[in-house]
Amino acid sequence: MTTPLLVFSAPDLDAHVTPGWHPENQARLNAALAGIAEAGLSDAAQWRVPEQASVEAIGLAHDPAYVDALKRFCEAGGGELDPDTIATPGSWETARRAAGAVLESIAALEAGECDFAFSAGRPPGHHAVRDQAMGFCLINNAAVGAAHLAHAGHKVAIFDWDVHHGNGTQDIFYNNPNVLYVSTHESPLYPGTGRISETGGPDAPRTNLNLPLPAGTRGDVYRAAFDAVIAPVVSEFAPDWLIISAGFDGHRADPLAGMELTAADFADLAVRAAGLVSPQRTLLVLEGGYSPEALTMSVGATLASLLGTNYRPEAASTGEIGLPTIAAARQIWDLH
Amino acid sequence: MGSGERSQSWPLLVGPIVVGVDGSANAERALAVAARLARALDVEVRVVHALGMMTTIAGHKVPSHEHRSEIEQRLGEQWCASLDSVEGLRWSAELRDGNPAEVVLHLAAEIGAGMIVVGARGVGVDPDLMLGSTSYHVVHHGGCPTVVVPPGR
Repeated sequence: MTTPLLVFSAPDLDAHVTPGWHPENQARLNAALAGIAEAGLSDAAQWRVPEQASVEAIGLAHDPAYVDALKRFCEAGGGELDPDTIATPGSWETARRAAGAVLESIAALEAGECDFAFSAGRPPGHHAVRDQAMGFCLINNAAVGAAHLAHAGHKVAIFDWDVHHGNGTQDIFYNNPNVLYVSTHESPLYPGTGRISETGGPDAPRTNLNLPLPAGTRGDVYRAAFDAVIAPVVSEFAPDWLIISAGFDGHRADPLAGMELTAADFADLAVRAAGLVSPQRTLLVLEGGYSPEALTMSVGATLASLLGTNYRPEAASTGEIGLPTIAAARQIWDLH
Repeated sequence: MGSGERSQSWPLLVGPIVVGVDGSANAERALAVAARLARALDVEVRVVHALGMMTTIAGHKVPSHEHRSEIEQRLGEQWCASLDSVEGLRWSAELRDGNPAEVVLHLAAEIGAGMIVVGARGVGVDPDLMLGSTSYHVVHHGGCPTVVVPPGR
């Protein structure tokens, strides 16, 4: 029997304990998961506790020497990896479980067990590059999933709507013709990457789409960017699978960025994106999002929209800020 | 290789000195070293601070994007204050978003830096320094000579 939504998450096993000042904490995972009940999806969703991803599976996306160093660093007590990024003794297993959630999401979809899968782990992953942790991220969860699929011969599109550019994901797949990376992100903002001119490596032309948008951008421009740029680029690529790097820090209440999105805006993007691949081939991977209330509303609205349930605690937003990015992208990508 | 060949292929100091700072005491020492080298060799100092997602202000971690202009002001007026007293020194300072090592490396490549100076602020406990060390990444990935300034005693 097919379940509408499978949620892969293990908040009770979360041992990635960040300091009190840190916005990436255990409370945000609980807030994200609370959105499922808040949206009235408790009956439609089933929950599974994921296993930890193997070192070999992680090694498809990361340098094995980095993976080994991360393990030893955590075992030795952890510490600050950069001014933003913390590892603790429990981070190694927790991060591996977050990556494992993505792999189990893929397996469940492949087996026809669910229509959609939500992989909700922490820490987030999209800043982690092949050989370095950064930006709160230790293991690039979405990249581990995409690398697994690409290794098996699939074509994968990653749509990263987190407010920060997923420099790690771009870095890992920039010259991989089987993975299309698409990012909408605020610019200027950390990590300072994601230029619109970066469209793929020499062996992978037209497999990297960056849409840097100014602070204050609202849902109307995201929707227009999707319809005018993202949809045609993804359709041309013709992926078998879609991984949504679902960060909710573009929400207007988020403390780390300056976008003006609402819960309904994320919902609109999710429905559009899922329509670009076959049924049972879309999974969402939790990335950032640092306002608990915004996380609850946004996760709820996003999942509800995919399941055809009406839960929109906030109206969609409009504002016309950011339109020049769309025009520039259409020109660079020769879209007419 | 003879000494003549060495001097012709040696890229030292045909460009500015890039120095990464973060307001720490170790960064201040790195800045002092960069200033002395720049004066002696008559090159410019380009100071850069990498803006992460969080920033420490007055001992507290705060979201960087809400304090961007304040950090920029601190960079110019406080963190680089010592440079004003170095007679004849040409210098400028800027904020860039990103990881400290990547920011320093990108700026150095972009301007054709002759040298990089960074502080060796040890973080964590990993003995091989692969993780978390700005100086490790700069030394191993930079395209020009790098000076790593040790912590004060």
